[in-house]
Amino acid sequence: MAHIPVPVSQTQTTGGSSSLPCAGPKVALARSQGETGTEPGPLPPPAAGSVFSGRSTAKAEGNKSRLCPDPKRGRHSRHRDPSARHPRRCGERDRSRSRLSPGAAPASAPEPPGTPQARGRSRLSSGPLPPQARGRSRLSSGPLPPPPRSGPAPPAGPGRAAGSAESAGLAGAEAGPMLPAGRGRRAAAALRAALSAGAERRRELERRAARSRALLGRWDDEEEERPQPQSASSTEHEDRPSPKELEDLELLNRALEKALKVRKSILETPLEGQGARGQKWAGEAHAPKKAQVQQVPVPVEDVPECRKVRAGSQKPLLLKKPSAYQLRAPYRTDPDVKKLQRKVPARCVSQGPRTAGKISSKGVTSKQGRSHRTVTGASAREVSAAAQPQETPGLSESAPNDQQSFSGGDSAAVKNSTVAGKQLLDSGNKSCGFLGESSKKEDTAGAWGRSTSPRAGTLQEKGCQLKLPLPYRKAYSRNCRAWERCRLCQTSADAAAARTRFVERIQTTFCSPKLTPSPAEIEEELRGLQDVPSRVRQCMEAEAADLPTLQGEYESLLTLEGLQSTVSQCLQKLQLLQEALESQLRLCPECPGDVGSCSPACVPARGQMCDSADMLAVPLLCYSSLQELRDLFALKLQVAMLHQEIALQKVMMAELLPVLEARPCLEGSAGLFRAIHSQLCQGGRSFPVLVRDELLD
Amino acid sequence: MSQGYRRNITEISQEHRRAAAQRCSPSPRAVGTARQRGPALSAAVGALCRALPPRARPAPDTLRRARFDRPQAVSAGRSARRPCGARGSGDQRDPRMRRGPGTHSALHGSATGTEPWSLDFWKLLYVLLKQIHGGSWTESDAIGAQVRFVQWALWYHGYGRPQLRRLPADGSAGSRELLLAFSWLLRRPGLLEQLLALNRVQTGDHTSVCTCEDDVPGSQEGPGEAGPEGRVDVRYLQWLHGRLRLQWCSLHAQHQEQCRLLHKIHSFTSGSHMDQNLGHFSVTEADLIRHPENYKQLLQLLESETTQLEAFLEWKQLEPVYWQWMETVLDDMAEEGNMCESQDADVEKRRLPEVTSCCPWAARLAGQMDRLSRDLLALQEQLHQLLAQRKAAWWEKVAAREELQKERFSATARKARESTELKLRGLTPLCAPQKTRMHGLCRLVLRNKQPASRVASGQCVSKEAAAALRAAEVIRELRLREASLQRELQQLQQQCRTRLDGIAEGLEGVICISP
Repeated sequence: MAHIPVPVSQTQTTGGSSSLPCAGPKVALARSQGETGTEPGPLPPPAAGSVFSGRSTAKAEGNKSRLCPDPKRGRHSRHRDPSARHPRRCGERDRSRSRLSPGAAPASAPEPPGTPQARGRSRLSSGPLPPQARGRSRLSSGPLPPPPRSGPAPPAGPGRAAGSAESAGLAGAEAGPMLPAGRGRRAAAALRAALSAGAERRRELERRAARSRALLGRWDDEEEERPQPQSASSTEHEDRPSPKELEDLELLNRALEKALKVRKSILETPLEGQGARGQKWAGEAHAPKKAQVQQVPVPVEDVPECRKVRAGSQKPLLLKKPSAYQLRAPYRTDPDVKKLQRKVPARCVSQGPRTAGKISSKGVTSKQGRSHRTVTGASAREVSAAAQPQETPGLSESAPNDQQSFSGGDSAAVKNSTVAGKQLLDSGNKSCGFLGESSKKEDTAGAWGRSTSPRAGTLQEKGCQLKLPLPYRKAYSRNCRAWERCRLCQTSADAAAARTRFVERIQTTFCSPKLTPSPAEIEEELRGLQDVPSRVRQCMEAEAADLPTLQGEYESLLTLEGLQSTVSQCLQKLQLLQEALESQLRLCPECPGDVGSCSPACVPARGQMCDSADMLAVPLLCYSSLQELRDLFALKLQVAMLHQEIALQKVMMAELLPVLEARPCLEGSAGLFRAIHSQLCQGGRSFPVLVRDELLD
Repeated sequence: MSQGYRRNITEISQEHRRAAAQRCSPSPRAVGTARQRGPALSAAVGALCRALPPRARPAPDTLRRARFDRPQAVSAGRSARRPCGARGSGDQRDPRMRRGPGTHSALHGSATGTEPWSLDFWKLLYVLLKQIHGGSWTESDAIGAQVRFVQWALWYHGYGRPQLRRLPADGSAGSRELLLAFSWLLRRPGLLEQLLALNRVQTGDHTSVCTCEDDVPGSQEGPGEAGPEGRVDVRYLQWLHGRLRLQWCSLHAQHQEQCRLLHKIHSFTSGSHMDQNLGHFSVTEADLIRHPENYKQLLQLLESETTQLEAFLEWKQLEPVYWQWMETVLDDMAEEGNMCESQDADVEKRRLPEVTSCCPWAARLAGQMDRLSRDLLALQEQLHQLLAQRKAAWWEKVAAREELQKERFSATARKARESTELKLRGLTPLCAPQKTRMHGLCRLVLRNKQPASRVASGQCVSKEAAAALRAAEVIRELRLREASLQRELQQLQQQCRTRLDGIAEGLEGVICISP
């Protein structure tokens, strides 16, 4: 504790960091194992943050042994608070020891401060790290690395840690740090509103992704697969573990399976006793099979695994088994299952990678469709064993065949499907009149009818030859032409003159000052100024480097001067806008009640006096590569997230700061202080340390 | 396909010629006598109404009879009697009323008697403005709220007629004022064009390109979060916040997957779309090929939009008559006198003190301005210091090398000046006023081979090049926005830190060590 800026002579007992109940949300998945009987609350975020990799979850699982059960668990489970599932670390003693020996994996130490935010400074108790950072840092470094602290070993011994009990009392370990009802509720409501807005977005995205996925799959077998992703996402409920969380658990399961597989594959026992297996464990075979389907594409494309889970739409299966909380059988010493495991790895290891290697990106796409279907089949089979006639026989006969048809067949499926597709197409073509030019005269109703058989094959194979249905093409081109004509349509001279006369005449009767911009214009101009500081800063930073040549230096001087004048121009402009706003506000009528919707919707080229041409042009956004598209969406999301974070920060500031300011002493509110500090200053990512500094009387 | 395209183009040009001919023809007629304006005016108003979105489409009579500005009663009983009396008074007050042949019959035919006309007009404006402002609305919103919103929105767009402000809040009067406001809206924010663009039928994969703030959804307190004694555990907040962060992570993952899928669909279908500008199908269009039966409604929407656009074109040709008519309405108003002038002053005086009690919109804007000005001031300070430093260093250096550089340096200096100018151009909107900010939805289009396509279909691409945004540009904008927002968030957090440090200092015997 050398870093505590208090002279040791003055401190009688430094309590170390007060071990707050809320300090470090620990791995909850680990707990959930023992908890299957209790109410299924949602998993706490940081643990679930391992969405980005199944492996980190497995790693987290390993930490379980370091945690001690939380005596207060269950008491707050109604509130679903983090500590209920994040058992407090036991043993302050442990903690201080771990600080003494930086080389050892700190048993109960906080997370490695791997985030930029926590970089180097979060020494004593940095709280939970953001999910990504957590997952990654754990992944890369086996045991938790010691905090990157370079100071000398703190002169803290067991004696020091004795003060911890006191500081724990100070932290209000008995009662959770509570907020007054009104403020707490408003803050929680703001957060929940943000959550539900996000959930809405997720559902919407899920719907769209399902649609796209269905399009990329095979076109001849969509009937049963379509509705499922929607039903899966719509049943998501706040108070229950969401499918997402179940997926996380599923990932954990799979990671553990994989670990087991690796272990078994070293033994490489010969395959035996397949024949007699039969129906009995057919159901069990899904798990490894799925695991393979899921994992194969990962080396091909670097996609986080979580995405694969969604791509494969595990949800139907998961939803049918709410008990998926439990870790599945393979980790228990179930002899029957052990035999299965011995066999499955052999197949997966030998076959999986090879097929994966062969399947190009082409194969992967078609696989999405396929895996979709197989999962559907699998879940259907759980309900009734003989649901799918063409696949069940394979299952009941022998598992290897089944496996073949699922995974090995995948690479062949592309070719097979083309053949099948062609046949279907040939037979379908006769009734498929709506695409043919010959059917031009047909009435629309007939053309749109279901008599047209769906085309077989995948979008990839057919994409280039596809044609839009005739009625649509007609409507589209008519529409397009109309837009184009509207865009090019000029206002005639006399119309423009009459219009201007009218507008000018009516504006003379306005009571607002003549040249003041309207509130809409003020808003738009302000928006234009908004990013000036960022731009200028960017330029300034570019000029900060020392330049070797005289000319370069001169140039940089000029640039800086230019920047300065730009900034002062902007300030002037801003001043004008502020004045304009003020004078407009004098005339502001009574505000309508709901002002969430005050600003106008975003129309292309809004807020300015532009030609109709600008407004009526087709708005296109061209991108040139997948990477560009990804960057675009990532940034858009980032901006949206920051907007939300700022809004929430404001709410939290308004609600939480007064709570602390109202309290004269810390008694019982240390926990509250730490929690609020973390929430407001660190974005909930790390915690401050409170040290009790007791002077000698 | 290309033939069809050429044919379309010739059709367009023919229509243009026709349109131009028609455009020339009505104007002398309209200028001539007002008597002839009647049918032309009805046609213009009719086209205008049809060009409005279907959900808000008024009957042409709503517009035409609005000029007579009869005070209407809200209660059914009174307004049932009202039309006769009102007509009488209208005739006396406005002799021009009888001029339009169509006017009388329309008036008698469609006056319902139970609904005051002004009410229709308030509703019309309410619906139109609500669409522009992107708010949700229903027909049954309270009339008082409707009136208030319309007044606020008109103020927002800069419509400052005091007479409008004085209209009764129950919507029982003021149709002529509203007609004026409506006509002004047609011009100033380009009401028709905005509505058309806003309601454009989307057949592509669209994404918004603006960085405007999303509405933060209104929050409601829910049950079940208060603990014993009705208090809320702070750990619940932390848990929620963690969940929120997790949600952002999964949203990110979902977005990335969506990108991958979109890109695949776009690249697999490249070259299939009949529209050369697009080149490939969108998800909707691909799905349409697969399940044509699901898209009947889309087809209808497209067709109704086309008719709306055609109405817009018609309106553009008949526009002059309308504006001339509006001028006569203004004349009427002027005739009626300036008796309101004194009241205006009163209104202004009354409003002066309540600047602060304005709406959250203004509060937000003022907050943004404050933050920006703080940001800029800090930047100015920083720049000032940096410049002073640099200048000092510069003079030292120049003094040392003075003799040998003097001659040649003037040339170098000029060059340097030019390159700096170039660098600074486009830095601010002040320097580049023509560059408009991006708003709204755009259709995502994959263009792999940029130069090739440009060469191939030269005039076609250049024609619409103005409208096409590049993803790279948008990304650049977004980066800047992100940096600004990040800074804002950090400032807020810093603010909290200082306040909390202050609180911690007030605590006895406790030291707070920030992470």
